[in-house]
Amino acid sequence: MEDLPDDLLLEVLRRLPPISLAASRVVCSAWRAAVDANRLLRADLLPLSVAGIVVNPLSLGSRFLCRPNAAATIADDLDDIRNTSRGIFNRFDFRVSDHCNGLFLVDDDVQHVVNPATRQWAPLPGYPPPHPCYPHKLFSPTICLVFDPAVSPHFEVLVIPRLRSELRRPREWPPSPFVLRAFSSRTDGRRSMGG
Amino acid sequence: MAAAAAEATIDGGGKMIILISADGKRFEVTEAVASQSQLISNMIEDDCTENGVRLPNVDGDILTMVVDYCNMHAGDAAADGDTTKASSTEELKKFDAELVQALENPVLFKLILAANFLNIKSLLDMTCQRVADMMSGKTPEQMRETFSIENDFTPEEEAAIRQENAWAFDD
Repeated sequence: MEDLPDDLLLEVLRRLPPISLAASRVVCSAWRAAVDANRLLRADLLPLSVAGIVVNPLSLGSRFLCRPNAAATIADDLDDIRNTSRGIFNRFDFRVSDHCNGLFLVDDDVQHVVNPATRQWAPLPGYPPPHPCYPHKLFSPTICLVFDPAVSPHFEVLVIPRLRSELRRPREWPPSPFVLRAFSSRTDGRRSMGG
Repeated sequence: MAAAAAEATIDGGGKMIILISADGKRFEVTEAVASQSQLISNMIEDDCTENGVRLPNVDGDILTMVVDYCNMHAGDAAADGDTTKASSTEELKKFDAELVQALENPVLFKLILAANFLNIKSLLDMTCQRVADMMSGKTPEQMRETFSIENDFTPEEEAAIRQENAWAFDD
């Protein structure tokens, strides 16, 4: 394999699926350099194009707009996904409250994480009870979705306590200790949304 | 002498070309067969194949395989040509699979180098895909073993690189 010049090594590596590319990075420094210098791994996982945008008109719920797609891989209508999955929601009563690298956090009385590319639809176990340090009357939770397919096919949802605005005044922030509640699809749900 | 052979024609028409390997072996092929190599195709256009084409980078045993491949695939390359000679798709697939399947690694790599030098895209695709298939699904250790590659990372470096793509190493 050392007989192959860099451009031919690259011809071989670019034909590998992501999991084998990740393994080939560990083989030797020349292979790792070839994978990294040509961004083979990330290019596959994070296409550098805008697949669509979410609009949140006031009090109307969310709409997901995207171009008609020749490959039809991205569902252009979240209504469509949820109707074909479980019919949990009525039209317009859901809201995309966060998104990260292609996954949506969809808010309703039950929260869901949705992958419009794979049409997967995963319910979360609901809000955890407020941490004793952050009672609801003082703090409102902000829910954030974290997902990086280059690192892991699993997502995490973080519950970040936020001091209610009417109570804000100069004080130490974030307080110490600062406790975040987190849901991980790896440890809590055994569900991955990659791909 | 070589020039006379190169000018010769066969019944099916088309000029013949002589390819000469690094170790002096000579192969007589039609222009249609030889021009699957973009390199030779360009030489034919430039009219500089009359004294035979010397290929100092390609050994005779490798050139034998390349010529076999090009003979086999001449049918599908000549779009509007004589279709009676063209091999069926299944035959071609079987031939291609058998060509690369049994090769030892050093020979396979020489074939990749030859396909690249001669600029035969379909052969380069097929041979690179064969190597990729041999890597697919293997652990880093198995890849090193398959291709006799020395691990030049320290254990700490290797652990750190694994950590960067920890998802790939889950059991």
